[in-house]
Amino acid sequence: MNSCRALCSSPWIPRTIVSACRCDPVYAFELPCSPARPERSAASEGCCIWPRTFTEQAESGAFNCAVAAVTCDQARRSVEQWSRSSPVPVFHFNVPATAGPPALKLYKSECRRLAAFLCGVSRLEQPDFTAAYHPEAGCDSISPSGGIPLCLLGSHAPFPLHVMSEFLSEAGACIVIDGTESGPRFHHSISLSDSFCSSPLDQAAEETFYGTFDISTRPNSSFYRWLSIEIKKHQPKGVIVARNSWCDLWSVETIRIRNWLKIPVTEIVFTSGTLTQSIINRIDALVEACRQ
Amino acid sequence: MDEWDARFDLDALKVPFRPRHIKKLGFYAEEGDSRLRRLKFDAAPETLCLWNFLLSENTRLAEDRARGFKLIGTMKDLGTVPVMAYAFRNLRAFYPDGAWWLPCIMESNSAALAVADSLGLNETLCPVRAMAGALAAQTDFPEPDLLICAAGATCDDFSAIAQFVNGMGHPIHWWELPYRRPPSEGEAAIMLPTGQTAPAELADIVRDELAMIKSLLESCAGYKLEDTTLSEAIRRANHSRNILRKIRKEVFMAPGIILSALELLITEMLIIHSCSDPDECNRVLESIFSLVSERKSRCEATEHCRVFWVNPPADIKAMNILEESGFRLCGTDFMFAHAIAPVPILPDPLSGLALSVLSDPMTGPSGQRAALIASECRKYNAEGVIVSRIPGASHCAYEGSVIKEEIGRELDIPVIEVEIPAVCDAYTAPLRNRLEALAETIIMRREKDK
Repeated sequence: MNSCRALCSSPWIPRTIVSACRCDPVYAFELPCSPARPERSAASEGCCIWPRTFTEQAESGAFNCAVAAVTCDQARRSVEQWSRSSPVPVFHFNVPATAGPPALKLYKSECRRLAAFLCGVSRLEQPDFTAAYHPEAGCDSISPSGGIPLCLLGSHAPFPLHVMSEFLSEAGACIVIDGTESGPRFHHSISLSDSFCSSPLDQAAEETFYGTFDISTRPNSSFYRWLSIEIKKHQPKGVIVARNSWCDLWSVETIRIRNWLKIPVTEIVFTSGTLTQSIINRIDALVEACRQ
Repeated sequence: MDEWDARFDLDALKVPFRPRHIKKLGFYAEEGDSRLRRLKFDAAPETLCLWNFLLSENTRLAEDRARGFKLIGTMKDLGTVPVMAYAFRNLRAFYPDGAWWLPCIMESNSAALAVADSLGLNETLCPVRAMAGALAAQTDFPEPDLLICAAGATCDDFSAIAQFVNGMGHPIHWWELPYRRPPSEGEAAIMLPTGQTAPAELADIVRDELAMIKSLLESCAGYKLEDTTLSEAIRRANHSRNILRKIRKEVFMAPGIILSALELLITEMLIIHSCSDPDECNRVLESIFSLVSERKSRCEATEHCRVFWVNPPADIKAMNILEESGFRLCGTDFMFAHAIAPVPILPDPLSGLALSVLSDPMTGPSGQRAALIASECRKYNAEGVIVSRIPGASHCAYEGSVIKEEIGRELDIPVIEVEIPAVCDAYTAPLRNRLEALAETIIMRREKDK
């Protein structure tokens, strides 16, 4: 166990690199719900709640630093503002939006900068990959328990997956495809020959870069290829897209998903860190529709 | 508009040059640009050429296509890819993003917004959703031969809508527009045309992207482009940018209004892609510069409140309302300061263009944009700042407070934020109230300072 704990906003931040810097990575999606205090936000109209919830988690006193992976404009601007006054050191990790060679070069550069930042926090001269975490291929975060099979998509939800799973189980459904940050669309293990990568850091960077299928990438066809394979494999009867209020990326992507799929798609929108009655109603309606 | 049209006599019209298209504005209003009927204009032969140049763009694009030009639809970078496109003798460039003004200019005549709504792209998104509607309905602008879109440090709604357009079946070449982070300690840095610095590594990455774009343009044009030819295109672009900078300086420093705010907005907007015709763009800019120079020589001081305007208004009528409320522009940031600054002339022209890309104020920290605004406010003696919020735009939810804080710290002048919808008619009274309140604040401060 390392003495430094780093709160990481998303699996775009390679666990291997964080642990090589003798920091324990804790991903925001693994944490229990932390309802945002409204007074923290300077502007809530038009603002996604994710920055507030992440800020709350980072400033809870449980972490030595925070690593914010930025995949959208709102995150970028809110992290910029927050990092100026945050009581914990914050690393602003700029995730490339495209998938070509210049984007990979940018991603590796960000990983190197991240390693330098974390080594500074943990007072290490350089990362040590010999004892670092290595991802396992094909790890699944869910154990379907019976009921109406559903696909759950989304990111930056204000509470961990198991909260949704438990609720769905009570409603007579189960998640067979986890398309959130805790699921396989962020953990595809790519087997890379060592000879292609100049260093373990580069290897870890490439594994994450090529093994992540996110809607924020342009084009995001890899996300749809992944989803298509998963849907064929697991045959869900319906899809829940869980997004935060004012999230433009997921809002527009939901329209495409709905147009593309022939199964019911329901969108649930978080305005706070709780499952509101309207969200519960929408899920119940979806489960009912899938039963028929 | 009607008053201006009544004076229009093509034979007697002393225009500074013969534009490709010269018509009464009523012609365009009849064709669908109905907002023109509700605008007040700075009526001069030079501004008539300006408006005709703007409003005839789609017609000119269609004519150019018929003459054998290929059309490049360039998205989001606001100023760089068109410079590259115009280095080729058979390419024209335009911004499909420009469709964001269709809901304003065409009011309810625009099918683009209705089509966007029918696709599910509703009013929680910025008016740029009209771009998707226009491409789906194949109205308003010709289908480009190539679509090139910047992605990365861009606003979310645009990014989402551009991906939606791609998903509709329009192939897009995406390129990385990275966030302009400050250089780390000890990291190699470079100076940008707008005065900021950026990590040299980012400039290399952008240069690689522009090299790929150059190859694509070469495939589209059907021939390879020499560096010397690209350098020459950069020089021509810099010439246009220089004229615009001179126009802005004359307008902002004049003792009174020598070009109305609406016409200044339109003049500035030309620079991002020369409105698809660089040669005519230069003629328009030169004629506007002559106009403002002549007016400045006989301009008397006025009591208008001097204000800096941030972000393009979704409804251009806001510029009329601004002046009617007692203001004049003495500074602007319409989100493309990098397209006004000169492109660095370097032995490798792509490297110069990469520095221009990284200068985009929207790709770096909001604080840096705010600092540039503060600097311009000081230079042009602004008495207040108006931040125009674009409905649905992701950056507007955050920037206003940063700009207010920076201006407050540096200058102590009032800053207001106003959200301006695509058609602000129903909102005119509250907008005027807010502007008039700002004017009163400024006047009170003047009295206090005496």
